[in-house]
Amino acid sequence: MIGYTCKYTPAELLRAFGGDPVLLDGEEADFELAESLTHANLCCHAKALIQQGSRTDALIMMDCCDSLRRSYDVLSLDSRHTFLKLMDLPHENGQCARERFKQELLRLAAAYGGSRGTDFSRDAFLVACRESSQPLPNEPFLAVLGARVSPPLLDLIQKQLALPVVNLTCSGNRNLEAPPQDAENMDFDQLMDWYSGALLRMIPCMRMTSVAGRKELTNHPQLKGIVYNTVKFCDFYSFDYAALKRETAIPILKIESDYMPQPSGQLSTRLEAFSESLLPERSHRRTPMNKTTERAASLYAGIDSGSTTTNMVVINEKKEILASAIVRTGAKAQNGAKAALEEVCRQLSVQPEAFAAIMATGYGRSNIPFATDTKTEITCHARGAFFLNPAIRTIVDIGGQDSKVICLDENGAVTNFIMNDKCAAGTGRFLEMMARTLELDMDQMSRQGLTWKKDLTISSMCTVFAESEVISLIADNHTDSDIIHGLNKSIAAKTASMVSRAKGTGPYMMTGGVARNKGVVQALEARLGENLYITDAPDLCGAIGAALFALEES
Amino acid sequence: MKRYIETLGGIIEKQTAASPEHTRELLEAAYSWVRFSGKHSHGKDVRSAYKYINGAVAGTIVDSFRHPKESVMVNIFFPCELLHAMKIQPMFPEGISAYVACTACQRVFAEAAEAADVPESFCSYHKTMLGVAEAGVMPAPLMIANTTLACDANQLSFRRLAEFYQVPHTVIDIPHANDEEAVHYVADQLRALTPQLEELCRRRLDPQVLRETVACSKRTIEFCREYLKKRGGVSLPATMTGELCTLISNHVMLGRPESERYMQRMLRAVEAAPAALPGKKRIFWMHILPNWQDSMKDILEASGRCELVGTDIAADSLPDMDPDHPYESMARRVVESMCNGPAGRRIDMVLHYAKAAGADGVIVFCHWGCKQTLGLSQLAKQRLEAEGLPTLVLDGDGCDARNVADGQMVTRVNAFLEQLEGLHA
Ligand code: SF4
Ligand code: SF4
Ligand code: SF4
Repeated sequence: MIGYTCKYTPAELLRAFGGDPVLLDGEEADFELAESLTHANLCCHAKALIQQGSRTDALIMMDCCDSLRRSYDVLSLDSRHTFLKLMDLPHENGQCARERFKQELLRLAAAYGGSRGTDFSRDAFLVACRESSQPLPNEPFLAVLGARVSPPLLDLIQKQLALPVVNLTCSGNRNLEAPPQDAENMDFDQLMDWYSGALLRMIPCMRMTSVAGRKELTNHPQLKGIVYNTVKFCDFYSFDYAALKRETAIPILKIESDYMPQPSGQLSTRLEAFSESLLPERSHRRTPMNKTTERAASLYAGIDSGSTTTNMVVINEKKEILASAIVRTGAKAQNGAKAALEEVCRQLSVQPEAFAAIMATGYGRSNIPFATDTKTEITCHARGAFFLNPAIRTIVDIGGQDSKVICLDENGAVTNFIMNDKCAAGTGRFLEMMARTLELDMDQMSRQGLTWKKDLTISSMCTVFAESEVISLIADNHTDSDIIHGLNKSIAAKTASMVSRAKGTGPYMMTGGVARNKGVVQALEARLGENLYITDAPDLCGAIGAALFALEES
Repeated sequence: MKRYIETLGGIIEKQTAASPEHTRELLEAAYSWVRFSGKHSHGKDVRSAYKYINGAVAGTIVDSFRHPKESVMVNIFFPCELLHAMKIQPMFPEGISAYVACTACQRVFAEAAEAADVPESFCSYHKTMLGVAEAGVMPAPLMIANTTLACDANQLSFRRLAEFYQVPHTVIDIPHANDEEAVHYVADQLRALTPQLEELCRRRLDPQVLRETVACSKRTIEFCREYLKKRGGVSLPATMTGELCTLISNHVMLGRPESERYMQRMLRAVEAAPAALPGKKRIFWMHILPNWQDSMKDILEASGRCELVGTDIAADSLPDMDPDHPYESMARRVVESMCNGPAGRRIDMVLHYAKAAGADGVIVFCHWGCKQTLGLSQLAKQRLEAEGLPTLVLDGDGCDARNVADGQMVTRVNAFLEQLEGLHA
C-alpha cells in the first residue's frame, strides 16, 4: 500500500504501476509525537498525518498547504520510508499549470515505477479512472462539506441524521472526468497530458485560486442540508463557509473537528438539533411509558440535564408551572436527575409514576432512565423562550461549561444557532476559574463587578493567558472590582461576537446560570446596546421548553 | 509619539463603525506625520536611516489611500518593480496591520473579522487587515495582485477582498520547487499581468523604465549584501521596527530610489559602527517581530544585554538581478526566497546568515497562526543547536495582543539571555 492524503493525488497512476493507494485519514488518540516535532497549533489533520505517515512505508503527499508542506519536511527526515514524495501541485489549471503538473506526473511515474520495479499498465490505469467517481444519490440527501472528515466522524454524522449523508469534503468528492474515447490508442505522454488536465479540472478545493467551480457542490436539487466541517487550525474552510452562508438558502450546520476521538455528546446534540430543524415531524425514538396511571392526564415534566446543574420543571395542561428544581448534576447525569425528580415529587407530594410524560433535554438527556422522550436543548430552549416572551428573537445562553446563541423567527422556530463547547472562554467556567484566582466566591464576583472605577481591558482570549494577566493586574494593585469588570467585558466581547456570527438581532433574552451575574449582564448589555430580558429563574428555560414538549407531544 | 498613537487608537476604536472615512483621514494624518519626519531625518546613524525608510513606507501608504484608483493592492512578497515602473502605488495591507498593531484599535478590527467568520486561528496580520478593509477604512484599489508565497493566508484574504471590493484579481502561482523551470513559470505569469495593468490604468509600460527599476533593485540588493557582510563584526542599536522596515524596503519598496538610499545609508552606518561589544548577546531573529510589544522592546532594544543582529525574512532573497531580463529577475527573487521550498532550505540559510552576523543565539518566533513557521520551529531548533547556536522557540503574535501571554514571553526571553550569558561567561 501507499498512503496518500489529497484528492489531487494521481491515485490512478499509482494503480497503473500496481500500487494500492490508501487514504490516510484516521484519528489519533493524542498528538504527542507530531507536536514534539512541530507545534501544537499546526492543523490537526497534518498532525495526525505526521503520526500515521511515520508508521507507513510508502507515502505520497501533495504541496497542499503550509501545514502539509511542513509535515512532509518532518517526515522526510525519517529514513524508514521506501517511497516518499511531495508533488508540486499548481494553484490553477491554465495551460502552463497543466504542463507543469504533467511534468510532475512523468517524474512520479519514473520514480514510483522504479521503486516498485513495475511498468505502466494502460488497462489498469483506464479501469481506475473509470471507477474513480461516485454518482450522487437520486433521492433527498445531506452533504458533509468543507475540510476533510475522519471516518469515525462521518459515521457519527450519518448515524445522527435522518437522510443519507454524502461526503463532499476534500477527502470525499473525487470526481475525475471519464477518459477520452480514444484513450486506448493514446501513448503514455498523451495520456498524462489528458490526466494532468483532468485532475486539475476536478471540483476545486479551497486551496485553488479559482473556487467558482465549488458552486456545483451545492447546486444539486436533492441536497437538503449541509454539515459544514472545519478542521481545527485549518483556515481554508471557514472562508468558504462564510461565503456559502451568504449565498445559499440550504440549511447549514458548522462543526469543528480535530482528528481526535470526539466526545460525542455535545456534537450529537448539535447534529440532532440540526436534524430536528430539518424535519420537525421526525418521529421519536422512545415510546412513552406510564401512561396508564390515574393522574396521568395532568402532570408534564421537562428535565434539563446540564453539566453543572440538572433543572426540572412540572406543568399542568394549562401550561402553569407547578414545581421546579435546580440541583447539582454531580459526576453522573442519572444521579442529578434522580435528585431533581425527588425534589419536584416532594414539592407536589406525588410519586414519580404520576407524570404523563417526561421530556429530557441537555447534555445528559440520553442517560435519564425515567424520561419518556428526549429533545436537544437547542429546540427546548427556543420553545421555553418563546413561551416566556414571544417577542424574543435571540437567546444568549451562558451555562457553566458552554455557551450558545439561538436565533428564532416570529413563530418561535429556530433559524440558526451556534455553540461554544470546546473552550472555557466566555462560559461560567471561565468566571469560576478567575474567581478562584481572585479568591472570591461567585456572589462577590457578581456584585463587585458593578462598582468598577477604572475601565481595564483583559486582552487575552485564552483562559490560561487571561489568568496570568489577572495575576499581574493583582500584582499591580488594581482593585478586584476593576479586574472583575475587565473579565466581564471579556465574556461580553466573546458572547457578542457569537451573536453577530449567528446574525442574532434583538430583543435578546439571556438564560443560563451566568445570567444571574449582574456585572456580566451589564457588560453584555453595553456591548449589544440593548437591555436583556432575564427571568427570575434563568436556568429553567430549557426545562420549561422540555415540559411544554412533553405536554404537546403526549 | 507612543501616547499620541494610543490616543489615536482610542478615537478610532470609538468611531470606526460610524464613520470609516473619518478613521481613514485620521490614519492618513498620522502616516503623513511619519512621512514628514522621515524626510527630515538626515543623520548618519542607523536610527536616522530607520526613520527615513519608515517615512517612505508611511508615505507610500498615504499615497495609496489618497489615490486608490492609481494603486494595486499586493501582498508583501509581491515583486513590485512592475508597479513602480508604471507609477502605480502598491497598497500593502499587511503593512497597515503592522502599523495598526501599535495602536489600541487593532483589537476592534480583529474582533470584527472574527465576527465575520474569519477563523480565530488565522494569521493576525491578515485577520486585522480584513477587519480594517471590511470596516471600510481601506479604499477600493484598482485591482488586487498577490503571490501564493509566503503562505496560504494570501490565497484566502486577497480572494475575499477582491470579492468585497469587486475589483479584478490576479494570483501569481509560485511553485514549491526552486528551479529554473519554476522561474520561467512565474516570469510568464508576471509578463501576462502587464497588459492587464496597462489596460486598467490606461498607461503603457515603458520597457526602459522597467529596466531602470530592476537596475535600482539590483543596486539595492548589492548594498544589502555588503551590509550583511559587515554586520557580523559590529554593534548597532537595531530595533524591531527597524528590522520590519528593512523587510518592507526589501520587498514591496524594492526598485524605488528610497529603498536604494536606505540600504546605502545602512551600509554607511555599519561601516561607521563600533566593533561588536563582547558583553552583549547577539540575537538572530527568525520570522516576523512583535514590535508593538513594550516588554519585548525593553529587553531587545533597551536592556543593554543583547542586540538584534538580523531577521531572516528581511533579506530572504538577494539574487543577482538582471535588468535585461526584468521578469525573470522578479520571478527569481520570489522563487528563490528562503520562504519557498522545503523548511531545510530556510533553516540552512538562517544558519548561514546567523553565523555571518556573529549571532550567539537564535529566536524562532512562532507568530500565532503562521503554520509554516510553527511547522518548522522544532526542526530549526534541532538543526541550529546541532551547529552550536542555542535556539529559543518563542510563541507570540506580531500584531494581536489577545493571543499573547506577555509575562510568559518575558520570562522565556530573559531565561534565554541568562542561558547565553552562562554559556559564554
Ligand atoms: S485542500 Fe485541496 S490540496 Fe489540500 S488536501 Fe484537500 S484536496 Fe488536496
Ligand atoms: S485540513 Fe486544511 S490545513 Fe489541514 S491539511 Fe487540509 S487544507 Fe491543510
Ligand atoms: S506571518 Fe506567516 S501566516 Fe502571516 S502573512 Fe506572514 S507568512 Fe503568512
